Amino acid sequence: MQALQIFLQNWIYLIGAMAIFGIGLYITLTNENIFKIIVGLDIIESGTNLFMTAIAWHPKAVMPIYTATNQLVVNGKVVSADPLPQSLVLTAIVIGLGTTALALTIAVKIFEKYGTLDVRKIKEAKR
Amino acid sequence: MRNDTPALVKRITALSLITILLIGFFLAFKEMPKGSAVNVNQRVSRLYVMKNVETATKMMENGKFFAKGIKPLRTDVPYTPITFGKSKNLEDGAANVVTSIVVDYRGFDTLGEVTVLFLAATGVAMLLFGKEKKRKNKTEPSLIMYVGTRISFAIIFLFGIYIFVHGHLTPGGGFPGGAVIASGILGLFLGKNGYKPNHLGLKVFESLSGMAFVIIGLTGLFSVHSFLANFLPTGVIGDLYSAGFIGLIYIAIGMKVGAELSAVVNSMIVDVEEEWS
Amino acid sequence: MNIFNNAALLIGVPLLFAFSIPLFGLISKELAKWVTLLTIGFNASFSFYILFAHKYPTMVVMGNWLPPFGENLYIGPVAAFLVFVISMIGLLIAIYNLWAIKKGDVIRFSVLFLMFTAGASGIVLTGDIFNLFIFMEITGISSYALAAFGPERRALGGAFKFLVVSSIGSTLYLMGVTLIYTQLGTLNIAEIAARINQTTPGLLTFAGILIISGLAVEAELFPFNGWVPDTYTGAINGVSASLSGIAAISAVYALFRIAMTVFGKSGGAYVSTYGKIDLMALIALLATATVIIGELSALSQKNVKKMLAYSSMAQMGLIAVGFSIGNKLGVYGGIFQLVNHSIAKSMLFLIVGVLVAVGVGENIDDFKGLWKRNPFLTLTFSIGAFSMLGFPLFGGFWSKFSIVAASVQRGGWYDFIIGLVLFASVVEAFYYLRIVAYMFASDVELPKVKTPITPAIPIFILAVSIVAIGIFPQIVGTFSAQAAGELTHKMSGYILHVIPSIAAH
Repeated sequence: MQALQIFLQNWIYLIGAMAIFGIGLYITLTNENIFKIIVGLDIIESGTNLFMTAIAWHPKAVMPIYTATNQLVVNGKVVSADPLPQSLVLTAIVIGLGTTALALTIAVKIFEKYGTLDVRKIKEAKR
Repeated sequence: MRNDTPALVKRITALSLITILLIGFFLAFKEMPKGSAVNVNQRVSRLYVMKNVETATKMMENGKFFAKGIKPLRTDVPYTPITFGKSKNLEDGAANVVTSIVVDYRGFDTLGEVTVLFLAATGVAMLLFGKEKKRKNKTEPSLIMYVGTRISFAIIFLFGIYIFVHGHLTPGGGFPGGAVIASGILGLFLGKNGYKPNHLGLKVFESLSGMAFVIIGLTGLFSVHSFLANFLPTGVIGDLYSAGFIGLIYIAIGMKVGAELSAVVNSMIVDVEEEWS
Repeated sequence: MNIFNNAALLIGVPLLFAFSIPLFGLISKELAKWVTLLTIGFNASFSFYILFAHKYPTMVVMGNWLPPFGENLYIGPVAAFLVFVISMIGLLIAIYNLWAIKKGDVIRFSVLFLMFTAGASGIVLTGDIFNLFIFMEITGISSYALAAFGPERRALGGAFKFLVVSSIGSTLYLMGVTLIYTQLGTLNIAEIAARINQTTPGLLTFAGILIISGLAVEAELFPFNGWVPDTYTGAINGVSASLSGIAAISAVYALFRIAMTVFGKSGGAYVSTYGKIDLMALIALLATATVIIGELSALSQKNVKKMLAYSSMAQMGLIAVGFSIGNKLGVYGGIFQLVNHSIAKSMLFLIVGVLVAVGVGENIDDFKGLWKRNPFLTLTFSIGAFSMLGFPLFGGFWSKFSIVAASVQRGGWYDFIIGLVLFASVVEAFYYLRIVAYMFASDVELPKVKTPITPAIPIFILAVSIVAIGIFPQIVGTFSAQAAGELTHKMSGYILHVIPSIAAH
């Protein structure tokens, strides 16, 4: 029971993040459809974000917001979750959003000009 | 990868690459403090949570912050207790520590982040640039949809404003608030075929709110001699009128993100014709 | 610690004007282009002032929080010089764009080009490892959009490839940064660099590999450079010029700032890194492979733009070889070659752009007999080609010479590497001289073409600067020697200027 609890506390989020990352990378590398590649990129993005929030968390963490009842600092020690990776994730999410929007736009244009989203057919079409 | 590679070879290569990466990650994770071993007190975020960066800076200048062999002494920085609703004039007045990092301690990152969003919206609009084309047979939404989106738009808009105004007190802030506002505008698009927002107004709004952020930063440069420095009093922690310039910046970001995402939605929904050649 | 906070204007002013260009664009399209030009001009003159009149190394503190607690910009010899080069090349390409960009959404193109240049200077200036990621994304997103801009549909495929590879790369970079953060608890480059030996070697090595592979995408190193030929060929010529002239500088800077300052060991004649494997040796191997593959692929190309793209890849490999030698002479040669490469390669792309626009075309056969049709462009193209080859009296000679000298000095397995690189240079000489021979020797009778005045200005300035650097190498040499001093001595060159109270190890 103890071992399971330690495993859950220490590893579960990291394993989940890495699983998502691996799935996304596999989709991106093997698919020939541009839309699926974009989906893969988004899944990679989610994996990274989960990984970054996972390193901020510890089992006794409270939320990093001062309220009337929430004590962030006990006896001079910080007990809250680490706020810095959380703020980095906020940034990373917005950047991922921008990349996805741009990728989808390029995909729309590609479909307009080539009439297909298949990478192989685009390669065969001349200029 | 080349396009004429057989699918099987592609898959095996991808799988082995991912396996190597995952094994590497596993080995790195074994050495990494994780779960119950995470100690915020050894990280720089301790200073942000305690709002004690100025003390740490003084300790650093006296040569007391880094011990021999450069172990940082972050746990030694003296702690001044912070009480919600009572502590006054802290170095950063935001109750939400994530907000104080995003806007104040690492505000330059956020300026860059807003720029990334702006560039993405600009790129989307640039690539989809052209004359408007007539829409092809799309079903007209029902009256209920039309009225419902219009009524809920006002509420959604108000909620978005609430979120970014309270960014320094509650979870949320400029980015979620802006996204909420943009979702309201998306509702308007769904409610009526051929709905067009005021393009000129959107463009001016987008530019002015972005410029407001940079101008707040430049005000810091000219009044406190540091770009993006806080030049307003920080007040009592937990008050609505507290936290110095965080409120101002979050209003600018909220408007910027709202206008930006609406512009993205607009350029993606409205069909255009090519204007090249 | 020498603080000069007004240098934040190098980032602040371009941002302010980038946000306001849509408003200027309401008045006139031409005004938008001129605002871009003048803003980059401001950056160029301000960095000129810092380089020649202000005391550096100096530092910019953001938000009044001193490093390592807040963010900072660090303007050392490397940054001051490279920002100047980036802004100057950006300025010249902006002049070219006044003439070249007439159709499509000119206003938004100007915004993206301005932020592309500003983001590249931000990469060079920043002193925070996460902020570096933000600026990479600013440069990245604007360059995806710029690369997809244009009437031709081949631009889209290249831009999409670039987007996919580059976003995977930046994800890997972010993961590496996060791994380091878990053990050191800081994001400031100087503090990480000073405390890097407090991490465990396994994690350090893996994080290093992740970060290097993330940065190698933009630095065009093998095997992360599959996007290069398609993107460079597809994009309009002004964009290809800025990708090879501006983005390349910032990418190489970021790569070696991380590899040498953050991971490097202080002391020792040659920089090597902490961890289980030597990252500098890894980069050297990748760079050699890049040189060989790039030159051999360039040889068989019929399209000049594609040839220039492969050659650009190979040149980046050569630059990385120079840096990875790790002593002062090697880094000196690397920076010198970086400057030469960005001047010559952006000039060549601009010339191809003019030639396509006046109706000559971009295939090698179209270049036949160009001397009789347009002497000015032929001469400048030949100057660029000779500088690429490293002919004496052209800029490239001095840098290639010092890279070779440095690797002979180092000896060991670098003898092998430099042998391969020299072999690749022979290949390079073959295909550049083939074009030059086509241009001068062919006696095809075709009508003459006129050179437009506006794009001739930047081409002329770039050509003159190549010859000037060739005759007086100390123009670049003094600055790149200072820069080499900063990069090879991490404690005294970087860390102690940012955090003076940190103890030496």
